[in-house]
Amino acid sequence: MTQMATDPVCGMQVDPVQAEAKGLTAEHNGETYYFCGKGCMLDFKDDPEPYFAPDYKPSM
Amino acid sequence: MTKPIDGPLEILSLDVEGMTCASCVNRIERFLNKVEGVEEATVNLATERARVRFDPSVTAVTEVREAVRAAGYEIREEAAPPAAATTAVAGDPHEAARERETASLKRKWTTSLVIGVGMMALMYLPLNLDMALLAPVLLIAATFVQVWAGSIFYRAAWSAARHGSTNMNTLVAVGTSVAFGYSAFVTLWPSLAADWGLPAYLYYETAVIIIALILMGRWLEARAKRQMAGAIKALMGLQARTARVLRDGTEVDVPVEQVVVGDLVRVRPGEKVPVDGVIAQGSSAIDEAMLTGESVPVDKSVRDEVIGATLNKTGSFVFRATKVGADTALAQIVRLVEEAQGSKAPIQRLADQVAGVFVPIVLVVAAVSAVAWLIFGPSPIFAVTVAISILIIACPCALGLATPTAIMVGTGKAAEHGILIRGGEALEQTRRIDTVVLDKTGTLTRGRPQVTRLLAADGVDDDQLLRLAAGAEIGSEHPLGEAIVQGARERELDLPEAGDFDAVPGRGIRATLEGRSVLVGNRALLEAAQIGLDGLAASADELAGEGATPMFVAADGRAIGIIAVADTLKPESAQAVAELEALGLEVWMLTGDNQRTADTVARQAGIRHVLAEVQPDQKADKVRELQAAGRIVAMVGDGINDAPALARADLGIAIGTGTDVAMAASDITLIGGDLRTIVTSIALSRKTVGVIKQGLGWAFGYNVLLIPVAMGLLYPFFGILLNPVLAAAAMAASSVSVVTNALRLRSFRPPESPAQILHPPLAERVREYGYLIGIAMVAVVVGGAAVVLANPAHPESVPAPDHAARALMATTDQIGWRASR
Repeated sequence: MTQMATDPVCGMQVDPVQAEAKGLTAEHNGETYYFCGKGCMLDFKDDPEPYFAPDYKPSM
Repeated sequence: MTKPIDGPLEILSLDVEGMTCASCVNRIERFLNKVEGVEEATVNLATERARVRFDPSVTAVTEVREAVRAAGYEIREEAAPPAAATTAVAGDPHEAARERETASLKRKWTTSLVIGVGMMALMYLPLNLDMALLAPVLLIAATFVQVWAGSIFYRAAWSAARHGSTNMNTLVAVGTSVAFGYSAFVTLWPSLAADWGLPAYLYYETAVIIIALILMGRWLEARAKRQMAGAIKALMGLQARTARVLRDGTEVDVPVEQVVVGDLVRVRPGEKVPVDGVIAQGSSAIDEAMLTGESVPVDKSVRDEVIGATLNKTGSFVFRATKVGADTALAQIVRLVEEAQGSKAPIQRLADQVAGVFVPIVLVVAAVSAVAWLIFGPSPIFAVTVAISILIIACPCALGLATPTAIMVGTGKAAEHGILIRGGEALEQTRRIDTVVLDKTGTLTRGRPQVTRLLAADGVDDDQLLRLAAGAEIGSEHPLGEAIVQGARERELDLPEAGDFDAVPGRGIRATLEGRSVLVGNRALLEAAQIGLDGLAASADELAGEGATPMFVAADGRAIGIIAVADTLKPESAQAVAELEALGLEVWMLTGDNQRTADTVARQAGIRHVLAEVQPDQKADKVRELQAAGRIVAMVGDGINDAPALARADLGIAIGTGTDVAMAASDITLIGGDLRTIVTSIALSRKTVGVIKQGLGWAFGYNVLLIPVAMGLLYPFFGILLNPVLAAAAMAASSVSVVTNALRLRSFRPPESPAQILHPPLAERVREYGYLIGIAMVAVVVGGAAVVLANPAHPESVPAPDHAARALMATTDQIGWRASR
């Protein structure tokens, strides 16, 4: 069972292998992030910074 | 949103693909809200639908769709939507179109009236305005009104003429055209008119005010008009939005439109069944009130049919879809209602009937008079003037007011008595019915079961029987259980503490209270527990024979009695039926319920014609049968299953305590559901039609009185011919009479008995005639005064034109004098 990744935008647990296959990944500062769906990925790509703020609470 | 909203907002629904979580929802909503013109965007993750409200004058549908794509999502195109769904979509444009029409009518009549009153002020107030300037201004204003507002009449008159008939539109088109045309001619070619000897009368305000008032009448009627699409929309609203379908081994929530035949669908407790199908696994009790009108849930298990839009009560089950989209029972009901609404020809209104006869007569009179004056008169032009005058005066402006004012007061009065009438047609139609078809459940009866009899076994107290049963049934959601609890509460019994409770599907319940084991349910429940029925069986059979549901009660292994539960007749129903029959109406009962129950209720209510076990589509057919036999049928119902029949009937009457669908499909709603108000409606209808006829009498009366004047009958003696002052006086007098007459309807009171409707008491008749004669006398006096004042007696000379025309003639003299230099 692969290690699950956390979607930085909505906080959902994502299977990185499946996300990779669907192209739902994005790189930032050398790290790869995995997303539950297109929306979260596009949000992240548009502007990743807010999601790294210490008080950002990912919500569904 | 920075721009103000110009027109109505449109709503767009899109299927969006690719959403996974709430972030997607937020993102799409953000993108949509950023589009200018979008007022509100709501996205639903579960249904995968985006609903956007936007101003179509600012932004187009394509821009909205682009916004969704820009957010990164695809829009699923609708492939061949089911017929039922397209009907709902089609319903909205109809309503929007009708609203636009009504708003347009309002603009036209208010503008025309303002112009008309302005004209009258300018022409009749002694302001000494320069006629040469004023007349062209009047011409322009009148042309505007005639073409913009009056076009409605031209088109309608033309289409009527193509069918070889004349109606109110013809009358208005002809009358106003002649008035306008004559005045325009006199304005544009005053010298020519003077040469020909045509009196320089300006009838602009006559034409404009006639148009204004008739349009106002139409607007008043349009506002109250029955909304066809309302019933369809209400029916569509009953459908479930989503369905839980087994796809690829997992259960997925999909929009109901995506369910296909063969899909396995799960329905959980409290959910609506999404489409029609057959149960494959599990069982439950389903509330099928939509189809049968019965609120008692029906037990269903494997291989039983389920119908979409019915409500699942407490069990969970999986069924295989057999009919989806346009094939479902609900879609069929929608089709039936549409068919019924579409096939009804609008009844010919009284005003149109009168106009239909009047117009040909007027044309003949005009022709005959013209010919007579050609032969005997001073000049051909005189004959032409007479013909023109007749056509002008023959068009009564109050014609458009007679019906709407009576309808307005009538419907207002009806509302005071708890009767909501949708539109003038319904009000005129009510007194014509000769047959009444009544639905049973919820219309004649209360619609909810009640405890009717208690049969306690030997040694058991009635109260004790009820107490224990109620204690067991507390918290039951089943209508039969609720009835028992309600019965106990009404008798103010002390209910025992509820203990254990166990529901046995299809049989009843088992409970433990006060240390005793209590069973409440049907025969099978007791038999399974091996409890003897001890002679209660015979009583139970008797009760069932009367249409009640016998509930057996056992305590500690012994049958202690039967509680009969039945849907009871409303106390006033029998009286209502008797009154309807006394009025000469044939009363029928139609129900989807079984024959035994139906017969019992019919007997109690005094109804002789009964049809039981009828499907919803059969109800409409029965109504059609009666109509085919030449009867004018009123249908009274409260449920969704009544909708097709309500729409088909000549008069649909809905019970206010029933469903929205029934009310939307009907012409009349009885708030409170007392059937006796039908009798009141009939009385009111007769009264109102009487007032309409009187109003028409007033409207035509003054004008008809002036036709001889226009014909020139008074000319040889008094030198009096028609002039604008007379026309205006007639307009004013008739309008006032019509309106005050309509207001008399406010004194209406519900009749004490049907006999009163059929044979009005003497006092009432005397009052009626007294009032009519009084008004007539006042009108004659006022009218006579106007005639005399406008026409000082000069036997030989041409009648003195009013001051406006006089000024015009002075101007034309000047022009003529200059031209001849």
